Amino acid sequence: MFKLKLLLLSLLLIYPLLAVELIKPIPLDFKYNKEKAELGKKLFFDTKLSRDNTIACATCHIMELGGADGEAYSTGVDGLKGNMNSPTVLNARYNLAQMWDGSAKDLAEQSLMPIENPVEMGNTIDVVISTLKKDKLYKKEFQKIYVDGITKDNLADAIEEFEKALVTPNSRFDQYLRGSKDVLTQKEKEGYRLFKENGCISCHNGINIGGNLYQKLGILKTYVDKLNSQGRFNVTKKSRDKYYFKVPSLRNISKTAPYLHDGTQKNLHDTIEFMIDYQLGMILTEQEIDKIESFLKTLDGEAPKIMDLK
Amino acid sequence: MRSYKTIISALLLAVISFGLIYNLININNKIKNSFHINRELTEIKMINRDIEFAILDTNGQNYDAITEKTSMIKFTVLHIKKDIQENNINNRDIIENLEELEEALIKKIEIVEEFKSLDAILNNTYKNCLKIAPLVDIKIEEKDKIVFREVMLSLLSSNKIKQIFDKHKLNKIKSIQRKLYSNIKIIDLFIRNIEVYRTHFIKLQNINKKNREINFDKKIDNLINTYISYDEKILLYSKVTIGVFALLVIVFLFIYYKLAYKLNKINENLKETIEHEVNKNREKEKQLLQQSKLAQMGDMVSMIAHQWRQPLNAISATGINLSLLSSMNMLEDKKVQESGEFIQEQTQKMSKTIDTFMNFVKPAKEAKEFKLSHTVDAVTQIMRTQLVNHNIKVTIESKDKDISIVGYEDLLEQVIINLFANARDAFEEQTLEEKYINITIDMKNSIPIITIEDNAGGIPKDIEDKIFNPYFTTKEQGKGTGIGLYMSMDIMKKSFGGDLRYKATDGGSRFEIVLK
Repeated sequence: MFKLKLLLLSLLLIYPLLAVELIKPIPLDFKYNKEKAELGKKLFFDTKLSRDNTIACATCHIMELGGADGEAYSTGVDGLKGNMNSPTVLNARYNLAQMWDGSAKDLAEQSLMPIENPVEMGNTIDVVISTLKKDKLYKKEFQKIYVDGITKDNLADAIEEFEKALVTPNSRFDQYLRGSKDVLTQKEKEGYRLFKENGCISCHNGINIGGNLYQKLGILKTYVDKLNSQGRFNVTKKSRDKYYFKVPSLRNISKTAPYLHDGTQKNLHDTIEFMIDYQLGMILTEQEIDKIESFLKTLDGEAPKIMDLK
Repeated sequence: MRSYKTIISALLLAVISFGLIYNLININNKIKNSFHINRELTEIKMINRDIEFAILDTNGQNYDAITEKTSMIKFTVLHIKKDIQENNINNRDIIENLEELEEALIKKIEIVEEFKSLDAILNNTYKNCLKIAPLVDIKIEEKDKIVFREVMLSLLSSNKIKQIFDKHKLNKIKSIQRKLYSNIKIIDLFIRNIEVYRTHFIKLQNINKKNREINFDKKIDNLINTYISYDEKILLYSKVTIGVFALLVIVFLFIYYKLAYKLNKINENLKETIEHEVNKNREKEKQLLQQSKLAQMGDMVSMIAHQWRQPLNAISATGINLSLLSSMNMLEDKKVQESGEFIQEQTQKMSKTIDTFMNFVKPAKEAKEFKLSHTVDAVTQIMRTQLVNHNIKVTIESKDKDISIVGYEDLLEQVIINLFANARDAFEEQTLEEKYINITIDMKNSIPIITIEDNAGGIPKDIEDKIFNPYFTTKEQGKGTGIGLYMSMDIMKKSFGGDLRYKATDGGSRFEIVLK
C-alpha cells in the first residue's frame, strides 16, 4: 500500500512535467454509416416531423450559424418560445451526454426529444411514424437500410447517424495542435496561454474543448437566471446538482452567439468576462480578454462534408 | 440371443459415446464462456483501477479519458450481465453480487461526474490562491507548492485563514478610508477563492469517503470470487461427468471387446466343428457311394448269373447228352458238330452278356457324344431279365431317335438304372395285374428330357420333399442305402448341369431326367 502511494505520488509529480496537451484535435477519419446518415439528413431537414409541418430539426440547428439558430430562445410550433438556448449539433458526438442538463444519454435519445417537446415540434413519435409511412420514398429508403422499416428506433438511429457526421475538423487550432505552429498568430497563441493559465481549460478540455463534464454555473458568484433553471437537478433530482449544466463545447464558438444556456450573453467578449468573474474568480485586463477571444476564434472548423453532398 | 445382447451393448456404447462428446463440447463452451466472463471481469477491475488513479489526480486533466473509462465500465458490466443471462447462470450469489456491482456502478459514475467538476474548481481556485497569496502578504513555501493538498490543508488548518479574515476586515476599513478599491477586490477574490476551495475540498473528501464506502473494487472481487468458485464447481462437475462417461466408454469397450472375442472364439469353434462334420460327411458319402456301387455290382452279378444260367444249363445239357450218346455209342459226327455249334453259340451269347456289363462297369474317362435312345436301350437290356422276372412291361417311346448329347454316358446309365431299380422295388410291394414302366425321350424347349413313369403306387405325399435327401429311405433295413436318389440328383446337377424332378401321377410316379 505504501509502495502504491509512492508510485502515485511520483506519478503525480511527473504528470505536469509531461505537459500533455489537455485539448485534442478532432480526428480526421471519424466513422459513421453513410447510407443511414443520408437518410438522417433528409429527416433532419424535413418539416414533416413537426405537428403543423412548419418546423424541422434544421430550423433551430443551422449549420451556417454554428449548428444553432442565433436566438436566445428558439421558436417552435405556433410561435411558441423555448426556455433554453439551442445548443449546437456540431461535434455533438463527442459530448458525454446531450442537452444542457444531460437528459439525453446519447444522440439517438436526443434526436427524438424535440419531436415530442410541445414548444418545439409539438408532435408525437407515433404520428411521425405514420406520417413517414405514408411517404413512399421514406418507406423505400427505410426498408433499404432497416429490415423492419420505419420504427421509432430506426428513426432515431438514422438521425443519430447524420448527427455523427456533423463534425467540423481541421480548425486552425487543430492544425496548430497537429504541429503547424505558424498557423496561429502571436496574439492567438497568447490567448491560448491565458486560456490555460487562468483555468478556462480546467473545464473546457478534451476533444470537444468542453462537453465532457457537468459544472456549476456560478462557482464564485451565485448565478440565477430569469427562469431559475435548475440544470442537471431536473434530471437527477439531487440537490447537489442544482445549477449544474453540461459544459458546452467551445468549437465554432464564434458563430453560436448568443451564449449561455439562457442566451443572455450577446457576444464573446462579454461572455469571457462573465465566465472569468463567475466561474474563475480572477481579474483579467481588457487586452487579456481580447487575446482569449482571438484564441477562441481559431476553433472554427471546416463545414461537415455531408453538407456538401447533394 | 447373443446378437441381441451385442446390439444392445453397441447401442449403449453409442449413447454413452454421444454423452461423452456432448459433455466435451459443453465443457469446451463453458471454458470459453468462463474465459470470456473472467476476462471481462478483469477488464472492469483494470478500468476501475484507472478511474481510481484518475480521481486521485487533482491537477486538472483531460476529462475525455475518464469519461471514456466510465462508459467502458458501464458497457462491460452490461455485457457481463448479458453473458450471465445468456449462459443461464442462476447462481444466487453471482446474481446478487452482480446487482450489488450495478448499484455500486451507478454511485461510482455519480462520484466520477462530481469529481470532474470538483477537480476543475479545486484546481482553479488553488492556482488562484497561489497567484494572489503574495499580493495579500501570505507566503507559501516553494516546496509546499509541489504537493497540492498539503499546501492547501496547511493553509486551511493554520491560523492563517483567521489572519486573512482579520486582515480582510482591517483592510476593508482601511480601503474604504483610502478608497483603494482594487486592493479590496483582490482580497475579496482571495477570500472567495479560499472559501470555494474549502467547501469544495470538503466535498472532495466526502466523495472520496463515499468512494471508499462503495468499495467498487471489493464488489468486483466479490463477483469475481463467486464467479470463480461457481465456475470451478461447474467445471468440476463437468469434469466428473466427463470422467464418468469416459470410464463407462472404457468399461463398455472392454465388455464389448470381450464379448466380441468370445463370439469370435465360438465362431472359430463352430467353423472347426462344421469342417469336421463336413469332412465326416464326405467320408461317409464316399463310403456310401462305394456301397451303392457295390450294391449295383451285386445286382449286376446276380443279373449276369441270371443270364448265364440258361446257356450254362443248355451247355451242361448238351454235354450230358453228348456223353450219354457216346456211352451208348450212338454219337454221330453230325450230332457232335451240332452240339459244338450250339455250345459255341451259347458261349458267344454269354460273352456278349459280359460285354454288355463290362461296358456298363467301365468308367468313362471323358465326355463323349452319345445317343440317348442308345443309353436307354442298353440299360433296358441289362435290366431286362429282372424286369421280365417281375412281369414288368417296359415301353420305350422316343419321338426323336437321334437326340444325342455330350457327357458321361455311364453316369446317366447309373441314374436310369437307379430309377428302374426303385421302380422294381416299389412293384414288389404291390400286387398289380399290370406293371409297366414307360420311358419317353423328348425335347422340351430344346432341352432333352428322359421321363420314366411307372404305376407302382408312387411316393407318399408327406415324404415327397425328402426323397432327394441323403440317407433317406423307406426300404427295409439292409436293402436300401438311402443314397440312390441323392446320388442321382448329385450326378444330374454336377455332371450334366441338369436336374432330376419328381411328379406324382395317378397311381404312380414320374421322374424327369433333365439334361442341359
